[in-house]
Amino acid sequence: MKFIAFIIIIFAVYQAKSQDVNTKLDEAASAYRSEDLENTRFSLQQSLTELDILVGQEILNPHYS
Amino acid sequence: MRFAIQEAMRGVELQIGEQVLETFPTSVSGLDYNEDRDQIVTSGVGFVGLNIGRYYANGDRKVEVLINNNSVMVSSVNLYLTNPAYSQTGQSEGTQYKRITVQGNKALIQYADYSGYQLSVPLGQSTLFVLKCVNFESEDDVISASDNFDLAEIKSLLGEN
Repeated sequence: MKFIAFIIIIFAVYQAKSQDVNTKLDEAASAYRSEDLENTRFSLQQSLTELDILVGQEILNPHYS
Repeated sequence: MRFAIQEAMRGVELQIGEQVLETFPTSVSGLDYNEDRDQIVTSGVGFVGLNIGRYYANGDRKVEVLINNNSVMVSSVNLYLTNPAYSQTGQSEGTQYKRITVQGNKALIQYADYSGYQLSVPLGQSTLFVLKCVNFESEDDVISASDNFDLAEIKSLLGEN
């Protein structure tokens, strides 16, 4: 039971992290549409950082996803 | 997905670079620019950052402007400016350097017999503006050349404060 709860928590965290990436990508798209290149770039950098963290977690813990 | 984001970032950085290049003058101190040597270089990753450059020449007089944004290189120049050893006019091994102010920004001007003048102006936390002037008569000529570049506009385009 504890293991299932752990998996659910991990899955929830992963979903949250994925949402972070998607949120940043949405922000980048929105900034690009309004021709704000600097904020587009910043949001893309942030999304890349979030994605790198996810990749790192995946490598450290293959059960993460 | 990571590669796609990096490619998107490269594209955006190239667009920013083009906007910055548009603010550069086509002529500086009587020297015309060479369009073929305009450069915008980006890797899409933060370590190398975005590099923008333009080259001006007339006879043996040359001006090269380089902007380096979001690179680890910039922190080393800020070290120059914050290091008390460089706070006054100085000289070491044939190179003379001095702290000055350019368009309200702290800057470092260096002179060496073999390479001429180099003006380094950190813009904000992660951008460095470098002006290399070969066969210029004096420091004032270099500062006058730098006045052709709108540093405030460049800062704004690169998101610096």
